[in-house]
Amino acid sequence: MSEAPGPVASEPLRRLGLDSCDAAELAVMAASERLLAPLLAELERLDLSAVGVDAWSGYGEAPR
Amino acid sequence: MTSPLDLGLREQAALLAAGEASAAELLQAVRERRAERDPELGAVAAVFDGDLGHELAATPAGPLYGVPIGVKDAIALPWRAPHDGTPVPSPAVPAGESGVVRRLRAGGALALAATRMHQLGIGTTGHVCAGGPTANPHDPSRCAGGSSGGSAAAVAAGIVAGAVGTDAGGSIRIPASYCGVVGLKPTWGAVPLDGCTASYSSVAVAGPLARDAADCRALAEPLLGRRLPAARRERLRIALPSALWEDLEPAVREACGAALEALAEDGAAVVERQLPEARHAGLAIAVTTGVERLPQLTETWLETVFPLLDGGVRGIVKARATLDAGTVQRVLRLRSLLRRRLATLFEDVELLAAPTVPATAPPLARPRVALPSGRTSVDLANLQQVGLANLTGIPAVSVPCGADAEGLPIGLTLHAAWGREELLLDAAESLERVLDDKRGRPAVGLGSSEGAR
Repeated sequence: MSEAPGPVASEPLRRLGLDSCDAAELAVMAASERLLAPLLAELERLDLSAVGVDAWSGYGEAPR
Repeated sequence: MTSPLDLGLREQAALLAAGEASAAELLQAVRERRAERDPELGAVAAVFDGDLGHELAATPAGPLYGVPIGVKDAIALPWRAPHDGTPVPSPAVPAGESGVVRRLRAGGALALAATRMHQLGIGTTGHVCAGGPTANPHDPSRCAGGSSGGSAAAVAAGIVAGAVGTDAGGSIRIPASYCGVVGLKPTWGAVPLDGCTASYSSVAVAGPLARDAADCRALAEPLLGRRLPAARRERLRIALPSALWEDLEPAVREACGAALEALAEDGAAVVERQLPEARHAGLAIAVTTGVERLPQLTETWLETVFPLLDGGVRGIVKARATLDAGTVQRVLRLRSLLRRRLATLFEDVELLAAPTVPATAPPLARPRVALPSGRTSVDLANLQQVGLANLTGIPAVSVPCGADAEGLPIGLTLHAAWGREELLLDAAESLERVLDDKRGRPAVGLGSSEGAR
């Protein structure tokens, strides 16, 4: 991600009207991307293909 | 005794019940204690200055009748709209009788102080808040933690004896650990979140912070709206999920390990268990909290609040908005998997234990932590341990268990199955009993108080 202030090419940000970023925002966005990238890669390696998403109640035992 | 605020929550309630102090005297003591200690700490955003008689008349004679409580500035009070750590009141949540206030009132307690918080709750340090950073009573050059840092610091400094925080990613337990107080994250859904800026969240819950586990129980009972009877637990089975014991400051590992040894000597069975997927909990909670906020970014909020935020907070909001749908789906599946793993694990053990955070409170001036893996972002490091309870909804309590060489507190977190708050608090009281009072003492606040424990 470029750290020069100005618009960033992001459709979600453009839709929110937040695609114009200042230097402080860009620095944090770049740091966040850098920190999360290896963690996201690890999560992608976890095989979750057979796991369904449970209805969320927050209580009690989950279905097996 | 120089001030009723040198007493704990139950002692204040007893004083009031015996007619030896009045609610007005306690409120005045809060004002005086704030004037004395808060300029250095920045724990309190505002103190009630309305008609106390009217508040008392509207409050039933519950067990905490007249006791002043601090409430995180993410929750509406009848006399203040939540500011959420920003310079302005939330445009979405007006002042009023929130779920937390209703529950407190039913127990007789009065929400008379609003406590500072990390801006929007996006941070575990408390050093970013429109009113200024919140400092740690044990060392004011250090962070109080976040996002409920004001609640923890106000309790540790003796400005109030009990406070309410919210916890979507460790935001009760992290500041409790940093500030050397007890913080309970109840089961998700156990406390009503209407009138809270995080009421939409599938991971946030409100809960109590207090000086010790018994006071925490006294405040948890009205908040949860049910009795949590104390019992002596024999031979508890406690699992240590190895994924939550990785990459810790040596002092944290040592203090938490010693606390568990003390419990084992008292008859608990401490066993190691594998829960490898918990390694992803920190990332998963960062994704969940970030994505769940996106529908809150309304036109009004973006126009009136967003431009006033700290640049770093704005950057995090924007970074989370760019996460892709595949990541969100993987996180949802991970949540399901972890809940199933926990359902099985809690058939075998009653508690899980882990350090609350991997390192003690970082400096306010540069809040980073040095772990065996290197210097890193304090927020992501902190989410590593706390994320599991938020993702799965289980209750967890952070209990002070020692201090590092600089006197900064260290907390051990105990987790229990859904709805088992009374078990958690029993275990927390056992832990306090078996520890040889190793917890650190604040530089201001409890350390100067005769009645402190």
